[in-house]
Amino acid sequence: LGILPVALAGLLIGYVLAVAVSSLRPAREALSVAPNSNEPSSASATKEHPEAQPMGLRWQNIDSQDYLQLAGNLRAIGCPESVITSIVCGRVTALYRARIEKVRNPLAKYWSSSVERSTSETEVAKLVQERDKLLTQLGLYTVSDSSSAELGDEKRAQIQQALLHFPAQRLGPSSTPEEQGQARANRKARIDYLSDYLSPEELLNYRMYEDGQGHAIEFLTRNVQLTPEEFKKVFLAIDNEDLTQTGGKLRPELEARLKEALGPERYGEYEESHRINNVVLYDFAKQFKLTSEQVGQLKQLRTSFSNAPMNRENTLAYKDAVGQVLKNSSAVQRFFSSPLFYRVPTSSQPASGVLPGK
Amino acid sequence: MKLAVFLIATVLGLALGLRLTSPAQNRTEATKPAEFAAPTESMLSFKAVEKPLLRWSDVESTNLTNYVANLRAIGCPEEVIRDVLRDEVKRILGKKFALTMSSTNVPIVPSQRMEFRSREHARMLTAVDSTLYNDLGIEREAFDTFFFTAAQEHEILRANALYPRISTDPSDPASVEQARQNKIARHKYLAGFLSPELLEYYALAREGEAHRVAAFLRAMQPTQQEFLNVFRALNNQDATFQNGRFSPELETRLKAALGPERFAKLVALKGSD
Repeated sequence: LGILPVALAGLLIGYVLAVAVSSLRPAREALSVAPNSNEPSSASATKEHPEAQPMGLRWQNIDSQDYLQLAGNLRAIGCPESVITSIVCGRVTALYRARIEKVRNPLAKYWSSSVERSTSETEVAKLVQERDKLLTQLGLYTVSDSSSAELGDEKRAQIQQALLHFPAQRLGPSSTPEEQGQARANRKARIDYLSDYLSPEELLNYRMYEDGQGHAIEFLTRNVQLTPEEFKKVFLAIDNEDLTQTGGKLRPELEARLKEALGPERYGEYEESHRINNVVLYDFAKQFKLTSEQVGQLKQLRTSFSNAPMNRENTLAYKDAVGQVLKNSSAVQRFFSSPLFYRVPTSSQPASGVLPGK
Repeated sequence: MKLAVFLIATVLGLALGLRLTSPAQNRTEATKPAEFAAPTESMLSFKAVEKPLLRWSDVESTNLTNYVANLRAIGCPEEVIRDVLRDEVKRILGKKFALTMSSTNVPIVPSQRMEFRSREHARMLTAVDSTLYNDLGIEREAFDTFFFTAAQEHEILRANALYPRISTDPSDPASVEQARQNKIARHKYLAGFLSPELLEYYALAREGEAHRVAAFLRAMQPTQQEFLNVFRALNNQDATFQNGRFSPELETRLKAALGPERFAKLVALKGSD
């Protein structure tokens, strides 16, 4: 009998002790965050949260100017990673948005010279780069919420991982061949990585729209109106290659691949569209939103005029006929502003140039 | 013997006590927020907070109004609430956007697809803003910009909330008049917070006046001073150019704004249009 009160007393004391310890725990957890770590460390935290309250969460006890500390504090109270990303990313983005806003005069485009605009754009680009670098260092770089939205959160997280491990590099006209090569190698590594997580169709869409030369290939073939199937074939044939053109041609190996993808007839049309006088005519057509019928009529008129003797009567007749087709005096004026538009050269040269590529 | 019993009982009591008072996180795993399908009425209607907020899991809620209230209750600043809830609402509405983007009628050609996606994404963002600012009553963000301080930006937001921009239907004179009245009211309201110079920049940058002046001065490549002078000259003036002339009053004002030489160039350019 003597044992029962002793046992009950022990139970009671143990229970009271446990309740007392528990009531202190939340405050301790909110406090105990080591910098750059998920592990609690009350020493560093006491300094970080001098005004901690024993009961309940208070933002002032979680907040920190140090992003890693803030993330650690949030982790310690069980905050999910997605919310930590929202909070820390939001703070970094707001900081840089304010800095970008301070240098970007929204009215400058109306009166600045191209040099002034370019200087301001460079400054903005530097800040954007700095922000992205910081987000990457914090492991928080996120793909935009519209990119690959159809893939869902898990696959988009893998895309983010791929971009973190094999960063996309912005290339410009002054990029060296080494930089271009590195950019292509990184992209290849990203695609290889993602092939483990995305279906072949998803991967193709990602390559075409998010991380590839879809736009450059569209630009290259812009005057032949490819069907969706043709576009996919062409994309698969020449994606992630150097699309620099010399004399209107890609390097021979790529031209051969392009021909194989399009078939001889369509490739012929593509080649024809790449002749310099056609390139300018198609761009002119795009500028004035001409129909394909109007373009066809202009081509016919141009060929007839170029073969006819050049005299006042023919010239007036030509201008009159073009006016009938275009029905727009500005367009007619533009058309006759350069022989590139209104004449077919005796030996029609293909266009040359470098396509915008990644 | 008694000591052993006492010690065992104490340990048991301690274990029982710890189990019963274990943190919310461990016991609420089963009630973690379910995946949202869409921000439904039940996610937005307020339900009183009853339990103490000890862990993040006590703060977050599938009911967005409660989520906001809980964040406010722990002293979370408005910008943090906005960042957290914006991503949460985006996640909810993003599912519909994702569904649209995976449908078969999305164009294949990159530029067309991008245009389609931008349009759909803009629609989603409008819905996100509406949920945040109209349904959940979160404060819109205001920050320092090139011309205005955060406080001035806040007043600009307020002016737009009080006297909103309304889409006008040219065939409905009432809507056109209402839009005009609201624009005047915004200007009047902001005159209490912005200097005359800043009010001009506001009109140019935020009320579409710069675009109007730029269209008027097309191909002139004006300096900043010329641009501002012409903006002032055009104020409340009919800018019609007919038979090689502006109205006499506007002509006088433009000559003063640009000087005779540049005015002559403007007339020549207008004539060639």
